[in-house]
Amino acid sequence: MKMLFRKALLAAGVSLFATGAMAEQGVTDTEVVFGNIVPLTHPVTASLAYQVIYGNTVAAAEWNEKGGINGRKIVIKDEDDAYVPANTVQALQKLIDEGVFAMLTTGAGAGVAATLPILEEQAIPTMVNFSPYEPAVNPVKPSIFMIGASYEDLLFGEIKYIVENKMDGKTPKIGVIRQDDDFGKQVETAFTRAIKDFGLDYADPLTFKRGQKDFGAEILKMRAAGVNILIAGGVTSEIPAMAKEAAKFKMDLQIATVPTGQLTPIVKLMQPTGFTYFSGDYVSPLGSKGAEHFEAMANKYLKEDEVKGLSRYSLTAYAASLIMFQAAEACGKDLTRACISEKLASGEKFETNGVTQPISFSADKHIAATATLVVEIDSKTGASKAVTELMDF
Amino acid sequence: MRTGNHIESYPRHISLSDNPVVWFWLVALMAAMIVLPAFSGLFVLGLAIRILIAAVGAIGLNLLTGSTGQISLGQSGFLAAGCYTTGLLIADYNWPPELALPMSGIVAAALSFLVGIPSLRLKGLYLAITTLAFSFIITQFLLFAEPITHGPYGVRIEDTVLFGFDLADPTTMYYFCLGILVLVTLGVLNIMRTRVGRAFNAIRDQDIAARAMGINLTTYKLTAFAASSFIVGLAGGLMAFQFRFINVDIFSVTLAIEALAMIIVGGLGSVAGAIIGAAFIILLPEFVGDAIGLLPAGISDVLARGALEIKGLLIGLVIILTLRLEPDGLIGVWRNLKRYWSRWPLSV
Repeated sequence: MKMLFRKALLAAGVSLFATGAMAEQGVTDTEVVFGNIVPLTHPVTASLAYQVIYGNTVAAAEWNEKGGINGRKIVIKDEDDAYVPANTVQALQKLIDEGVFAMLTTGAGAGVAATLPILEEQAIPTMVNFSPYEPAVNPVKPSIFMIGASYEDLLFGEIKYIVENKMDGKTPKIGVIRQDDDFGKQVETAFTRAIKDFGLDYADPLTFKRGQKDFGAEILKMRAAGVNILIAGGVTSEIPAMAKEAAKFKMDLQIATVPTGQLTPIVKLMQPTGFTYFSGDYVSPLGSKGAEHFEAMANKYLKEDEVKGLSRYSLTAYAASLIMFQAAEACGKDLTRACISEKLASGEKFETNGVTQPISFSADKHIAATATLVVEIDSKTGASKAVTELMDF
Repeated sequence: MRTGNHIESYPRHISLSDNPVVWFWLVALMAAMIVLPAFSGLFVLGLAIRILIAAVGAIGLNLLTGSTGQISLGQSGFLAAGCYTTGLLIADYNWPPELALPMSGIVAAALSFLVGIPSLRLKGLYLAITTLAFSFIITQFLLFAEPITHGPYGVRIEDTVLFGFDLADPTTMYYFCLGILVLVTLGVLNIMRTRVGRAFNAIRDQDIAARAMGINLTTYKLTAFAASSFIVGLAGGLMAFQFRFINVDIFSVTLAIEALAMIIVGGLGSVAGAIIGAAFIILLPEFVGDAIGLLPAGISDVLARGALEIKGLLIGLVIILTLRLEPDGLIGVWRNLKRYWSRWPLSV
């Protein structure tokens, strides 16, 4: 009897050990839990954060309706970091505690950087997409992948288009007003590269603190320098604030912006200025053929007011989620973090339903969708159209 | 039954506590803190580390503002200086973390003379503005001196092994921070029992009278600035190990306001108050978040979007209520409760 009891205990121990070794955090027979960290309570970027969540939600709903990932329902847990790197780390720790398997978004800019040590140590499969941050994937980190062109490439593409098509015989003179952080630094890199590559005349770069409202002094300096191409290096409301001042001084200006320039509130704020301006992107614009499938799915799974709030950030989040779900699906029933990372790096092509070109990573290149197109936005009508094909810079 | 305090000797007067019950509860609290990692996940441990580091910083600020009466809004500057010193020495100059951490305090203390000397003739609001300007100078320097500080790109710290213990492990980091907090607490409590501590209090209460009694204001004010900044810088150094990626965004002006809120809400001039205040201010948004989650769906959705503003409002509200209702802060509430309990039924 004693022997039997010992054997039973041993068997129970072995089975417990085996279960512990095989079960991956965040994966059960019925569910897979993904995490999302976005700045939900940051005054400037909160709306973008919700747009990201809408994109993830549509992808998960679409996938769940098809039966989930090999029969497991996709669950997404959202956390707020208020755009503060310290909070991003805390949010990630919370999500890990809550049993998240992989990350669909890990904040923006410095927030991504702050989470890298933990993501690497725990080998958590992660898709960086909200705000491209090159050090996340360069040098390559086994579990971290990124989609999206850098701000440098996006803006460089716009300037190239402007210089080649919009100067009407005038001599181009370029200026930049940029935020004084890592984002702004990338913006200035595009400016420096354009000067070098096209031999442009330029005005000295100007910087501002995040959240600045008035750009009268900066625009006056640009006007005095004779600038006719301006890189408006703000994230959201700073862009129309600069354009408003430029319109006041009746400047003949071509304006290049980062992808936030396409957001509906920014386009509306730009309306009184009358400028036709440019933005760059690596996803098909909303309303275009490439975004048709996504928009149909959004209409199906989101509420009416949520559909109205969609933007290109919803598209990037949708694409990133689809890539992650496909890699998970490819792992079959034995879903592990190592397997997802391996599948993502395998060179296999992942479909994003037209939002981007098919995406593929490799063992030594964890960044994709770097080709950019230029979008022209008419602020008077609010209409935007892609004026170039996707190109690599 | 204990009914009050009758202190008969000077050593007893300056002892940390003459009450065995206090020692018992302190030991119990330490025991609880030692076993905490065994029962908590990564998030709770992360939160606990934040509280411990904030408590170290708050004790440092309290030494200057609470005990010496020198209002400082420049704490985020000293914190940043300490944090970047440790981070850069490890990342760029390959210093061993064992030396890089104390350097965070030394550099912050050295920088404090830059503010301390011109501030000797300033008081109150003027001093507050001067220290605030200092923190702006520090953050602007960190942002624009890119060849030295990595500018907006921040610094990543890879080597986190101190005396054979890897601080990248949250449990190790927790115990390390707890150890530092205990050392800083004992150090400051001891300073406050000496002539130096009494001189700080005299300067706070009436600096002209203090000078008349032979206290050298220049020496003691600078000592307060240096000691306070050393501790705050050390807290900054700990932050470098906590995040392992540092960036100037961490050191906003809000951080200085929060630090001030910690010592006001906890109780100005009290070391225990600074620790309680730090825990309260760090945990406040978590409680608010949980409370919002309990509200009906429609209301909680709206409030969740404004959580940052609500946190700011609540910190402001708590400071106003503390100053209006209990100027001695949470530690004052605790003392009143203790007095009421120990003197019951004669308490009023």
